[in-house]
Amino acid sequence: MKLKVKGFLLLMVMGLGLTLFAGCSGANAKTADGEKVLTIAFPSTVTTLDVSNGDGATMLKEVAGVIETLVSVDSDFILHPSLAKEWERTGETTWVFKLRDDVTFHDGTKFNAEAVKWCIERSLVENTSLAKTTGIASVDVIDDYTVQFNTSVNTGDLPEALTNVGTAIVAKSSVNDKGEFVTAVGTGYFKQDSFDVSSGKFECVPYDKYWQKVDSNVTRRVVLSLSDSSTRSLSAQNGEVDIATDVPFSDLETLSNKDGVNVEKFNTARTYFFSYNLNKDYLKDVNVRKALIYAVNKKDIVNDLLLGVGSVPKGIFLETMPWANTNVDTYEYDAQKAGSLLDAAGVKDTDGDGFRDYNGQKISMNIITSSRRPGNSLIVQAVAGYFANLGIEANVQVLDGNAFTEAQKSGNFDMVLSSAATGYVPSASYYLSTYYHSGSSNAKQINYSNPELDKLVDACKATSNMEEKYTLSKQAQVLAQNDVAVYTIANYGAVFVLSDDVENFSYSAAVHDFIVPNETSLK
Amino acid sequence: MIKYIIKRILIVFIVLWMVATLTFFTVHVTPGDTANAIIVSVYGEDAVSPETLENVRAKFDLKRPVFTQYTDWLGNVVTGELGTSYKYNKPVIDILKIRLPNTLILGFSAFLISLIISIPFGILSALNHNRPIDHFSRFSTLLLSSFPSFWIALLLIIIFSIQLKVLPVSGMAGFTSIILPAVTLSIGMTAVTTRMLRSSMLDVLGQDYITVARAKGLEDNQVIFGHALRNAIPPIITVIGLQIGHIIGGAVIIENIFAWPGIGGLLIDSINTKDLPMIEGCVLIIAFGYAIVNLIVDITYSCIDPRIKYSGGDN
Repeated sequence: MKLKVKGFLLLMVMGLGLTLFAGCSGANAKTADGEKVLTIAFPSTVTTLDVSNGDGATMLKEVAGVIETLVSVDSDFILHPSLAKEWERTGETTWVFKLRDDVTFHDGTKFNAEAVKWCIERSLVENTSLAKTTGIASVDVIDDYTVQFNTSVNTGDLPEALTNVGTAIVAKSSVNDKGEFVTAVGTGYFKQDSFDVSSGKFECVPYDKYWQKVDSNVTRRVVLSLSDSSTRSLSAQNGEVDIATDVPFSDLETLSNKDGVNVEKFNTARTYFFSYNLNKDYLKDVNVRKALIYAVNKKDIVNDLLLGVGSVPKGIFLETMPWANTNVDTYEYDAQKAGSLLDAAGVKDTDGDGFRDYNGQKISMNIITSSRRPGNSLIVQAVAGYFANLGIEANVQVLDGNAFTEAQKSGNFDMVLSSAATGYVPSASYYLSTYYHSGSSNAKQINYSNPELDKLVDACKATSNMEEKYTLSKQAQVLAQNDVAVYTIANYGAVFVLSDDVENFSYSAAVHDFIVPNETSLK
Repeated sequence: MIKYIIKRILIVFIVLWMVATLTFFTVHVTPGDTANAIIVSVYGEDAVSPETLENVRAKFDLKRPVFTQYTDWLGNVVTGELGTSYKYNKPVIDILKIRLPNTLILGFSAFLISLIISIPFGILSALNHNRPIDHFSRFSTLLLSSFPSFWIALLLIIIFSIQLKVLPVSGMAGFTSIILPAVTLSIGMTAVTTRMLRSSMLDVLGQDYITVARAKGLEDNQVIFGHALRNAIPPIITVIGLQIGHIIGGAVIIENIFAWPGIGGLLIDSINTKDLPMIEGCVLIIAFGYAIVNLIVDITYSCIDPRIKYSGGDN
């Protein structure tokens, strides 16, 4: 029986060769057909372009540059006119916004007060969180280019809230007769060219009637939905994407040594923070809480654990935020002081087993966190180690999103590590009222209440005088930091992998995710 | 035969009902608030608050007792209505119509690659029993089937996308983008099919009728393809049917790594966001596909080997 092994192997090799040839011939080209194509990896799967959807609106506004809000915020957290020229507070719950009259939507229709009313009121219905975030109850048209916002609460934060992606304005033609959102017809520098709902791939091209002058040579932006962090990293290494973020920490060294890409680290306005469960008797003592913070070496956590992706906090807020108070106690690492404070609070090893007790009972802490953020599990494990050095047993639970929420609700924890965007609404009061105010769900869960702090936060939210707002916020931060019921352990960092070809990209911490400026170009 | 097929189709529906029911209650007993999961996935984690949780529960009618939700859902499924996805805010069936063809393309490509490699290798290996090509075939199939598919995926990406730069890392854009996911998905199936075919061929080649065929002076090709392979195929058909399950299971991981927009990735995403209508839709489609393929396998059996007769569901 003669066998044609050689022939068979030859066929296999030829097949492989053909496949590779096909691969080469189909290689991606940034300048195909004379175009300058900027490809960006978006870290979530975009399933819809509806501006009432968080991922869709974030991608369209911050990454694609297709939609815009009435107010914009710069990287120093200062508000600027955008689609609105100016605004004025006319009452405790009323604001009047004057709109630009030189803006058109991508379908050629005029941007005006009717469009704003229609879009905001639609978003209030579709986005169940928008009314809470902004406080908007309704919108009235005063004239063609003037609208009045009526809020349900006394808030001085409306202009700040109107920078949020959920308030971006789209034309009526974005929605079909059935009320389904079909196309993102915005006012931005780029207009939608195509969207593949199957893969989440979005393409847009410059809009020639854009109301501002933009200096960029990019003729097309392609946004790819790449939810897997390893895939984003590999795509950046391969040159398939020009901008990628949130890559695995373990890839940083490889990426840094890779030709053709640059790795840049920035501080975001997101934080990692601990909340103590004040339902636990021993944690009701503020000195015990302080001791546990003194016991943790924040610098080592940021430098060694997070590989420098992030920074050691100088207070509750990122120091570049104009309302940040950095003259607060940050409880720098001091293990000896931690021990002394615990001894003084009666948390001592009374039975000689090497562990500290409280009221004759060994303390066994349960620290929970979610698996959602890359640093969470690393931080809680390190903190458990620091506590062990102090003679306190700590168990760590890293839970997925839903299990984490349930664990928080059950109250079966001593400390919880969370992550939140302090600039989700870039105002001096938003973060404090969401996580420190006794009416917030976080404060309720941990049974934290400081009436003086509540008063300051309420006043801060109500006023629209910026100087007064910042002063009140700074006072509230001192109280919050002294109470240490909620404590910021590290500022969240962002890693960007940028192709060598990318020019004029700048980072701003004052956005929900990350912004790719209209001016970003390619060599 | 027709009676048998009708009976099998009825069993398919019973299986689908059981799978769907099990999935429904499994999702409900897993910890986590559905309203919370919807807010995090649709509006972002910073939007969670008691007020928004209440709004979402009201919007999606989540306060109904679980059993009422189940009966309502089942009633809708019977009428062909799979519900509306919490995350997409669109009918589940519309999303599945978009995603399913992509998974079928990927699965079919993997299946084809697997057959193209495993059939020649299985035959060559059997015909060269205990020779170098047989050792190579056995060793390589054992090796490849031992590695987890996600590891192979990353390895292939590093070699072909990062080092050689000849294939894209991810996405679905043209012929080249399907090569890595399809090859990765096919590897486990190729290994099993090759080994099964080798074993089956060895068994058949030792039969008397093969000796008789050779004694009659038939050419090698006639003996191998006309007699040996035809009789070695039926066990392989069974394995291939079962391997469809492997392809579907593997697609869940592979689609995620390669950002391939099929129902595997959709299922993972839906589980993470507790998008129950979408989870049920994906599971029903997968279970339906698996049951139908195995029904086809059983029917194909009788066509390939007329000795096999069906009676009362047994063969």
